[in-house]
Amino acid sequence: MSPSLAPDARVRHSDDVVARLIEGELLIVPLMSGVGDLEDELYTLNETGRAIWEKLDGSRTIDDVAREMAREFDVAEETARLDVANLVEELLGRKILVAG
Amino acid sequence: MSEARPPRNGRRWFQIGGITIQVDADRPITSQTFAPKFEAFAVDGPGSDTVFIHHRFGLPDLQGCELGRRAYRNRSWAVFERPDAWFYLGRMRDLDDTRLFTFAEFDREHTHGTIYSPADDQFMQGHLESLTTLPTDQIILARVLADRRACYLHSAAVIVDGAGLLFLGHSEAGKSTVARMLDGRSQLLCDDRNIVRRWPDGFRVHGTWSHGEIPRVSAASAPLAAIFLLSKAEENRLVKVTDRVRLATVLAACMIKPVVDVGWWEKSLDLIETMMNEIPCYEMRFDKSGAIVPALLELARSFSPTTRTEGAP
Repeated sequence: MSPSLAPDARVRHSDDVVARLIEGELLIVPLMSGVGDLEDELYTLNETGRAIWEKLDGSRTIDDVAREMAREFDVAEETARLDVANLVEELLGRKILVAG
Repeated sequence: MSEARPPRNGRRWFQIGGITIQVDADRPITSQTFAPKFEAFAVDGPGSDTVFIHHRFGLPDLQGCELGRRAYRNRSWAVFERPDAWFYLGRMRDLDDTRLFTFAEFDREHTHGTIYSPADDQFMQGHLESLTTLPTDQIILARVLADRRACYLHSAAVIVDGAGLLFLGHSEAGKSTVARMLDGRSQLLCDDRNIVRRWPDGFRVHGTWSHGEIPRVSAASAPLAAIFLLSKAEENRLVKVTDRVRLATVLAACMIKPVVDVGWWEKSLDLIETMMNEIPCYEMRFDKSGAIVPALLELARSFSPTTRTEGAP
């Protein structure tokens, strides 16, 4: 688990993003305005990332999500914790997720 | 393009993307008021779908005025939203100077707007680069377009044998270069911004006045036959794009985003998905030699004649 992310932390989707499922991947766009290009601001999640995203609804802790992922994807809990923590940190940094 | 009739009461009309913009002002509008790039878009009168803009001079007193929620802010302007209206507040470029230089109020649909400037000197001086006097007309029009299954794309577009070709890319991607390569063998719509709109009979690409290096612009439109993602390379070939996630990402990135909200993005993503389903897309790997041109022309001519209807809606 990342040292900066408590296992009992809860996070949820930001109100300032829109997500759209395309070919099994989730395209997440921020509500940023501009007449320029914002390709770097767009984010896509594959099937695993999408499964984590769908559980990050503010009701579960990071640890809860990791346990569910380990069970559903048949991986070690420690591996799932690392995957969840890395994704959550990345998305918090991009303000796609916010504290729940 | 028909000649616009002489202005009456200062009123002018311009048509872009199938939308007519009626411009009124409390000062006379002359042939010099707006920059020459607008001439190609001038029309004789209002259309079936018209946006009304009125320029007034002297800023209103906003003291005690309820502007609602602040929807957007950057260094030079801010936008406020109320359930029935939008307000645009433009400030001086100097960060220490908080005086307003523009105040605009629009109805919820952005079809009726009043734009206030502190004085009439710039308006009377003429050669204005936007009809709205906002930093760009795209701020207003991109919202209007989303309600009509349309959007601005950062792109160059040309018409070849009645087929509209759209070249998507960021700044420096080669949009103007491609437009020059096709010069004389196509009709240029615009080398930097074009409007793509889903009409009942399919997608069309429309020229805009928001040009890049090439000031020549056209109000024409054509059925959109193909989209090309520009990719500078040491080879010249067209590769069909099958990765829909990548395509959606590029289309979303190249879409001009006004003051956006969830509703605007939902409509725009619907449009992107429809576009991906209906319009073939190619990665255009090209160098500066122009060797890609024959492949482009051959592809354009291969599209079914049924897609080559003449005349813009």
